[in-house]
Amino acid sequence: MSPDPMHDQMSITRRHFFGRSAAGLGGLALAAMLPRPALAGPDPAALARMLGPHFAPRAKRIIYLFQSGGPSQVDLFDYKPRLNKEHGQQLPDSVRHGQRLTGMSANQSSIPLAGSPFKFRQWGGSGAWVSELLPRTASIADELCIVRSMWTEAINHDPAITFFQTGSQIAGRPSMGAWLSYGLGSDNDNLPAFVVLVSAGQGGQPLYARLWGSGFLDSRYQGVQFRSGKEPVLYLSSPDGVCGSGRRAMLDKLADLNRLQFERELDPEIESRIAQYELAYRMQTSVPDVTDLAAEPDEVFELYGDDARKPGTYAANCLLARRLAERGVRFIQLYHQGWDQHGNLAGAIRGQCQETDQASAALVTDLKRRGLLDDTLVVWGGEFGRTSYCQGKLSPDEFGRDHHPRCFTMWMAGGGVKPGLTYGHTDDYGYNLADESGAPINPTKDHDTPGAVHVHDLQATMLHLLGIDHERLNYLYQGRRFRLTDVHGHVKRELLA
Amino acid sequence: MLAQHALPASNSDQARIADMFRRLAGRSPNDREAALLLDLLAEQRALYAQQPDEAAKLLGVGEAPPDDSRDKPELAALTIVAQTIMNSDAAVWQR
Repeated sequence: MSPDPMHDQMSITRRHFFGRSAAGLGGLALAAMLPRPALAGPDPAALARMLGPHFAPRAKRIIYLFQSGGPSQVDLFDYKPRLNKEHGQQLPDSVRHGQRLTGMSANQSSIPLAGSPFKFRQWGGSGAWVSELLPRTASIADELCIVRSMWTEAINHDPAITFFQTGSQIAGRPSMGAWLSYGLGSDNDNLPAFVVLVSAGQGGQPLYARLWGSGFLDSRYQGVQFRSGKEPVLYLSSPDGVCGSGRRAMLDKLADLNRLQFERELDPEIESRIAQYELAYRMQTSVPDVTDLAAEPDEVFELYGDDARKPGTYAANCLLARRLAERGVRFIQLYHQGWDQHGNLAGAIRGQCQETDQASAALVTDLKRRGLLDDTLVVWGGEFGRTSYCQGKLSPDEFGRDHHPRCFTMWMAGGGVKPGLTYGHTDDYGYNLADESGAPINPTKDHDTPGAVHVHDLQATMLHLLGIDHERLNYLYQGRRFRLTDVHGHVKRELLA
Repeated sequence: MLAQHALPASNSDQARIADMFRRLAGRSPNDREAALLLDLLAEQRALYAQQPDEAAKLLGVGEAPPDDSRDKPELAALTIVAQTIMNSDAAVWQR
């Protein structure tokens, strides 16, 4: 039986153990441990087969524009004139079929349909339906692959966002960026492979660092959050009174000290510690360079919008994402909170769109003109959608929508997805996924449901675009092989260019 | 503060390093670790002897005021050694 490539970390240790008795610690060169530590195991070929890429990738990196809170698809992308016609009438039981609602609207005596107050029209040569709330996004409709038939199992924020990021509703698994960093390594030794940018001051549903954690994977794969302001990465710069050469000399001795500790303990996390100190040292130069937007010309700020001049805004983060992509960062995860419109939807969603529409579209446009869109996959979407019925009281100028996991819309651009495609259907009530005729379909994650895209299907497709077979990239932990897609997920080939 | 604690002139460099290491790692340094840290102390001492202003700046970091009666470059060099031990895996107890 061939050695199990999944025992990579322990086999480093095993090799080290035998190496110590023969040639001593010198055999373990620091440089060899840095880029692809898993390949240091006894069977590099087996490991390479398991890690990526498994086939030619279409994209080298992902920029994920996470719209946290659950944007209302029926007010943005999924045009449902029937809701306007039957505005105020009850959602028919024949449509709902007794499906669960959240605790927030399950006890409402009435669940009246709420038509969107926003005007829709078709855009571009592809004729994609987009509402007036997203004029800039609409103007690049022909670049977009709009998926109207997303569905998830989670109905509340935290399990839903955790599901999208880690493939499990329960916290603790590695985030998608960590999986990609583990599977594909880094294209830039001076920056983390997985960078996280959160719009400042948004409020809304909370985000936690575990969403970009590495779970049971080696800790060097976790996302690094860049903040706005003077210190993008906390505790990165040297304190006053420590010069570059002094810090370098100190780090050399620290690495030596840690190697001695590794010799005692044989814990692979000590090697990660050494690697991360070295990366942090290089980031003392690379981070100020990438986060300084001063050299960007005025026309770039015009493209992304004036907000891009204000550090920490979504627009500034979109521009920063482009700069990170240019430098080969593998996975750039943005978050913009505030899409959770249980009430006051009409006013609040307008504000959300003003904060995000121009910059999201600008990012795609900017990547394209720089030739980066071909190998950069941009993904836009939230953790679930919103109900077509009204939460709370439906009044002429006030309404809200509850969480809706059964159908919602996301879009992707670049990176090997089909541009100008609107994929999937929902029924006339915007409640269930449907086939082309509008008849409801009942998707399952157990097999590939044509027209429906489960969260695991999206994950499998995103990995596929980066040259990874989602069934092969796995990690043995506590006696079980784990994958981002658990035991599910189907690559949706209809979405591929 | 740790470096200040370890500085009293009666102590040798070896004793200072052993004292700081024991406080942070809960064990004595072995010979190789002690030798490494002695080298580091010598390097940093030479560096801060040439840059007394930098030494003063480093000692100005943090809330506890430094003891002005101490030799600043000496205290700064020992501070770097303390930082190094604190950042080493030997000082990590939980992960």
